[in-house]
Amino acid sequence: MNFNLDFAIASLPIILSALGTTIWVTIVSCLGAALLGFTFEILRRSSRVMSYVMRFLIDFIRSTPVLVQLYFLYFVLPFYGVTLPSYVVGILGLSLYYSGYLAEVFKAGIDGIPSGQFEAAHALGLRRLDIVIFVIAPQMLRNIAAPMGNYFVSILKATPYLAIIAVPEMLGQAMEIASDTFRYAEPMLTVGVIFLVLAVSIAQLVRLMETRLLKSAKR
Amino acid sequence: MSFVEILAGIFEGFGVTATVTLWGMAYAVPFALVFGILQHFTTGPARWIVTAIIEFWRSSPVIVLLFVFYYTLPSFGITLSGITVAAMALGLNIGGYGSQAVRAALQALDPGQVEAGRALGLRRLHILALIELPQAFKAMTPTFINQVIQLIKGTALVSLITLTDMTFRAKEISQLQYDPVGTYSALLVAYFIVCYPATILGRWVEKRVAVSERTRGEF
Amino acid sequence: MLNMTRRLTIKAGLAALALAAFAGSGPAALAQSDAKERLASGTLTIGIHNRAPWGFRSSTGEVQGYHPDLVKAALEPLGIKNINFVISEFGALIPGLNANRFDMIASGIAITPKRCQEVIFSEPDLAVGDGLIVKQGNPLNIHSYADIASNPKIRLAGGRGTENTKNAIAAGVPQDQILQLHETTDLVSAVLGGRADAATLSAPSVVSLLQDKNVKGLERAAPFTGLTKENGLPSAMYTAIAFRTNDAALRDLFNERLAKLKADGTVKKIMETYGFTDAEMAPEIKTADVCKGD
Repeated sequence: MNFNLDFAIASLPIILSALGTTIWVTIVSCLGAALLGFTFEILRRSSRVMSYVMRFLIDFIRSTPVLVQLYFLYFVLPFYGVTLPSYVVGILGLSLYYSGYLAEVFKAGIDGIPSGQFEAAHALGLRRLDIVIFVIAPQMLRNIAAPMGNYFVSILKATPYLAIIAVPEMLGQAMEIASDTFRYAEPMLTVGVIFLVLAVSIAQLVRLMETRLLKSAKR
Repeated sequence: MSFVEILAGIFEGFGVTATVTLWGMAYAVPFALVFGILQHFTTGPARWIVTAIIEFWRSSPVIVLLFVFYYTLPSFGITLSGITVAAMALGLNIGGYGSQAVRAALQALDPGQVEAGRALGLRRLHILALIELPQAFKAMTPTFINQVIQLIKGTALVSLITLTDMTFRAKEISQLQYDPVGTYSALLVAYFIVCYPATILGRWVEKRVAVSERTRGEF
Repeated sequence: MLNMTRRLTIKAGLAALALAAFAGSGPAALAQSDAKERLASGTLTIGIHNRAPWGFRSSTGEVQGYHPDLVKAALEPLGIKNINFVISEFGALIPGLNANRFDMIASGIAITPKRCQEVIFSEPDLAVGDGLIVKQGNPLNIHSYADIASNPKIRLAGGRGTENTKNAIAAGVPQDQILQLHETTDLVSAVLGGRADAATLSAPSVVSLLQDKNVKGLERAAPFTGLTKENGLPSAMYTAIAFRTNDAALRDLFNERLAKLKADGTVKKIMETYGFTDAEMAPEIKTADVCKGD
């Protein structure tokens, strides 16, 4: 059985047609993970009990493979009446899984804000919600931009798992070609090359952004 | 099948999970050390090549690496056993991340240490082995434990290339007897049982390293 | 520093070589071997997709099923004492065979012209049709692929890479009405969970799936018309054992033995064990003709 380069090249446009799906799923999952992660972190700081509960919840999510979490959400939830479309399950699964990691990023980001800021805010009599939105969030966002960028790349590399729950992203597209022609070798290599190029390029962009942010921080 | 029976059935796959994890570490640790050190010391075109190799393993999605090694390589005449494919793909991917941790740990060391070593007349390689690495190891231990946990979670993917690990056993059980709720819940619990102790251990080690770093600084 | 870089690079080269050698000496790399060698070694590896009655792993850990039993009956007298098996999802069986992961596919794979381009088949051993799983009571009154094609709201679930899915497409069901999943039990989950209204599998698989006492609330759509030929007769799928294209010697050996087993009634006995009736007996059709698209 020999490798057929023409077939590999012919697979390229078909697989790339799913690039859009891969990208938007990544973006939405990243936002979802950020939202959940931020919420978890704020909750964790709210009370001592909550800090233990959140710590355990995050540990549970991080101690199990994301693939298994996806299987669970896809096959078990319908039993309890919750049947979500594949891509929703996928985005939910990725958001949940990465929220644990992003909660840590937010923690570091918030911890990096000088404590004088909080004291000043309290002195000014700002409400808790206002402090979060107007004092914590903007400064934290600068601190976390670079790690967030890295997690964006991680989430991008996790989107192929969604092929197993029938989301039409790039690996799923490669598998369709494979099941049509009974040849895995060529579509798999093609999708591998695509992901490699994508991940490396985006990682470079993140690094560039990191450098620029560092420069602007030295005011 | 009761939940406990399902759990027991899933743990039948633990042998494969453990085997792939151990062999994976056998690839990950040498790779991380060698390439982390190389990246720290080399410059110019050599560094470019080293970085390219690291990025290849680090930036490819693991699931795609597995499929390419399993299905594409044989069409080039290279047929590796399933376990080898799993260990190499997972191990070298984790090793790629590990190399960054090694490099960061080496960079974080006080350059005074190296100068002192040179003043004492030690050869560069000896300085590396006797002075830099031991200190770097201490800093790297929490990350190392994290990587092991990542590896264990990554083994869930090998079920997709027909290796009979815990995830595979779960799917098998669900073929013999249709019970997705019991099966996938049990699978989550199984991974939690394996990974959570490691997570706790990692956190404990992290605290101890932080304490010892702090006490060392006070002098 | 230049000296340092050179020495480090040499060390890296050695390390890489060591890793490569390690890869070879690690858990055994699979080697290709000749059919005769394999027969002589007494061990064969078959690929199955873990579905009754085709090829599955029993609770005692052995491989069972119509096709594994057929292979055992055919090749044991020739010296095969040990049959190992690899469980793969159905759509990955042919790629796995061609990636040298096993020596033959013994798991209810049907002969189709497209598959004939990638593998070689033995002579047919069974003729089967498609079956449809629907919710209890068949609320949407589905009795054929045509019914599904004519109602865009009906969602069909099919296995990735299976001929049943391809039959549905050939019978006119649009691809975006079909949810392609990897595992057979996923198809059942899909109908139960409301992700699909029907699931298509080979009739024997449907029967065995519905026999599981944990599966409640589903039934087999009856009557059901699957893919029909131009003359209106139902199109049948002929199952056979698949081999790599360079394993013709092994395939021919198997065919010889299969002919003998058909003649002395062993095939009929194995059929009965797994619930097949005379209706499913393979007619006197040749694989070469099926490959051409009969």
